[in-house]
Amino acid sequence: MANAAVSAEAKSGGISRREFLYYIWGASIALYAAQFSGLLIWFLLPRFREGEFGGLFVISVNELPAVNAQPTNVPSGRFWLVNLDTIQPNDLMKKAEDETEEIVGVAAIYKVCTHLGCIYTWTEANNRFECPCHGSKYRLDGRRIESPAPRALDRFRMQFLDADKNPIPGTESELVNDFYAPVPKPDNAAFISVDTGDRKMGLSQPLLCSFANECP
Amino acid sequence: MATFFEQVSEMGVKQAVITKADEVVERLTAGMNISDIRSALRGDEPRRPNPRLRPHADSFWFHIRPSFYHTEVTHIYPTFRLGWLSTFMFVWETITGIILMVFYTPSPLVAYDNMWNILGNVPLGQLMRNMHRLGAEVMVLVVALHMLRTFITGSYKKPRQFTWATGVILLTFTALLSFSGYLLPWDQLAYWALTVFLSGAEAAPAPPELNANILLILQGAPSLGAGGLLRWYLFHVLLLPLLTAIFFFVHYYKVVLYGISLPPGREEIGEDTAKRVPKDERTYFTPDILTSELMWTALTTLFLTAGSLWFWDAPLEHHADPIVTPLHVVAPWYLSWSQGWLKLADKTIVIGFIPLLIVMFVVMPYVEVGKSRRYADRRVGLTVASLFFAAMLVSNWMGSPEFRVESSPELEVAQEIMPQEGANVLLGVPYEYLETGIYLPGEEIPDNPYLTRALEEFEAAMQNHSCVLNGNPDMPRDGVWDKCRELEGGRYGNDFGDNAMADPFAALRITQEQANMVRLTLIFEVPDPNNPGEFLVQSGDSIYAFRHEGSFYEEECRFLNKDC
Repeated sequence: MANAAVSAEAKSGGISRREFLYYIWGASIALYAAQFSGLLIWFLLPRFREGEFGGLFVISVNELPAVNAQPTNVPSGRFWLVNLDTIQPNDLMKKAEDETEEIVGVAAIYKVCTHLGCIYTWTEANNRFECPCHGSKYRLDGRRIESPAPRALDRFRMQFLDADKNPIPGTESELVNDFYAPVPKPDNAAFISVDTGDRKMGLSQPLLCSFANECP
Repeated sequence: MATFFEQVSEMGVKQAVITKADEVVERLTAGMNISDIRSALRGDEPRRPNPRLRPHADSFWFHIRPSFYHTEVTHIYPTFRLGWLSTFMFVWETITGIILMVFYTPSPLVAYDNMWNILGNVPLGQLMRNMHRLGAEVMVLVVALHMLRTFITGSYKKPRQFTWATGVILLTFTALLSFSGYLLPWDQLAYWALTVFLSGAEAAPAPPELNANILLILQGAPSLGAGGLLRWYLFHVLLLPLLTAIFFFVHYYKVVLYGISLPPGREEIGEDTAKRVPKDERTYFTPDILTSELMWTALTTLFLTAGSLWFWDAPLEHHADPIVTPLHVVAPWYLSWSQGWLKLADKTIVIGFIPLLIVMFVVMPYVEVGKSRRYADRRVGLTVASLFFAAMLVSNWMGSPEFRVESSPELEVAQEIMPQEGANVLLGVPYEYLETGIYLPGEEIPDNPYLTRALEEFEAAMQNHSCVLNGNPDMPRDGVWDKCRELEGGRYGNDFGDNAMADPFAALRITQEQANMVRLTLIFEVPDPNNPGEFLVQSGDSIYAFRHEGSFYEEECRFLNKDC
């Protein structure tokens, strides 16, 4: 259906109606494909309720480890319970050179290595957490001894409960530098409540091995 | 044309059938009848017009292939048949993969059971799995060597830059195909390899929200489980093979278009080999290339089948356990280099560097535009490539078990003889030979060769991780163990590793746990020489394994050809 005017226009470099319509067709397909790709990402995102994979774990204080002793493993909640006190230091827990404040209290530490997601374990003979995958090492409170981990172990929010399982005021995990500080155990505590839906990422403090010049 | 019945009445049944068969063959081959095929296989000169060229015009499968090659590229050098082998491996994996799919369901509830069903119950199931897994590893190796060869002979240069670029993408797909298949058995090896891979993806240098969502899409849930297994299964059996096939055809079209590159000295840059092959340097596809490929198909099939039958078995570890990472986890060998890098550098740098490396390889031929393919003119390029290759070898070694993460010495001893995964010396002892009692390393048990052998291994493992303090002559095997060297941090070392137990007491305790189950406990005690009464190591009851009467570890060992 090319008439003389149209072909003359096309020859002079302008866009003919036919050419223009093809661009419109092409653009509509491209737009649809772009929208579809966006929707595909939405479609592929898994659906789950917020906090579905966390929850409240209530544990008796009898399960708490002694001060600066080996941590208690809570596999169901995927965390370790540690009881820290740098005022009475030992091989497991002592203050590093750059730490001015004493570290005292109980913390719930997420069991997953902050490097690449492996499950580290407590290595009794070496008095520290060790990751089997790439060899990150952590002190009892979760601070890094050796890399490659980028930050200290993550912690969950926790609170002490009394014998009736009522929260004891003032014993909730406190945020220091957007990280849950250990909570000193009150005398009337009977239970600990750990909320694994609320996790804070560990801090990137200097490696402890660097103070002793022992980094591999 | 006469009908078949007319032909029968005309020339008799026998002649009519032969004529008909000839006609059918000619239709199937799109141009060659039976005598043409036989003459080609005999190596006779073709009749005129040459019927051997007709399939290249009229049939689908032959029109993909060139009708002749330059004779120079039909020798082992310069191609080493690596491109052909890569294609063969892809077909091989497709066939064995489809067969395995018949007995596999991608669900964490049954996937691992499916594996044991395939190994123990399905006729030839273990052979199929071995062939598929061995094929996957061979394919990665062959494709990588193909790329190396292409670089060394300078075949990526003009006009073949785009062929190289698609080849780099195919190598990436090959590695992804192999790795995505890793998860499907749903054993510990699979689970933790993929966990590390996914955590790596999450550490990419991108906004954290983006990374978090990419991770969710890749694992189908906030943690690796049913959704993730299904996604990686679909990735492995559908999406990746499809993409690989598409890129393969683009790649191969370019190979045919420009011809396989001649050896470096025989071809100028930009020369169109495929279209200007002198008559006397042509090797025709039918019969020479075709029969050569027939031979290569037979040989490769023979090697892969024999390897799967007698020389190699695909590993299968325990059921995936999301809360226990086994000691000494290592990446598959073809990703060993990344494991090595991860031990050296920050993960975000490593993960960011890998796609960058792929892009660098893709654009390399458009940047490196040296005018000659001759080795002598490419000293810089070949040196850089050698250095890269050497760096990859070192990285691979660093990621290998030789460079593994060491735990404390008593756990390393336990790992050698009673590991969580892999060949297990102690559990390999037949149940009826596991008599209750306490045994020392190296102890000889009368009438019990199995336990004696296991205790020998125990002693060998102890020697690797123990040492003797100066001035302590009471140790039972003084003179065999090294003298202790004091390490920083109040630990001890020997010549085997940094970590060693000084003057340890070690024993194996076997107790009857139930009527049909014993508990094997490894006991380690290392007194603290500086604080009498204290212990550096006191393992107590913590290192143990259970041996059930019906658990058939010795059969499992024999079955999986493990040495235990």
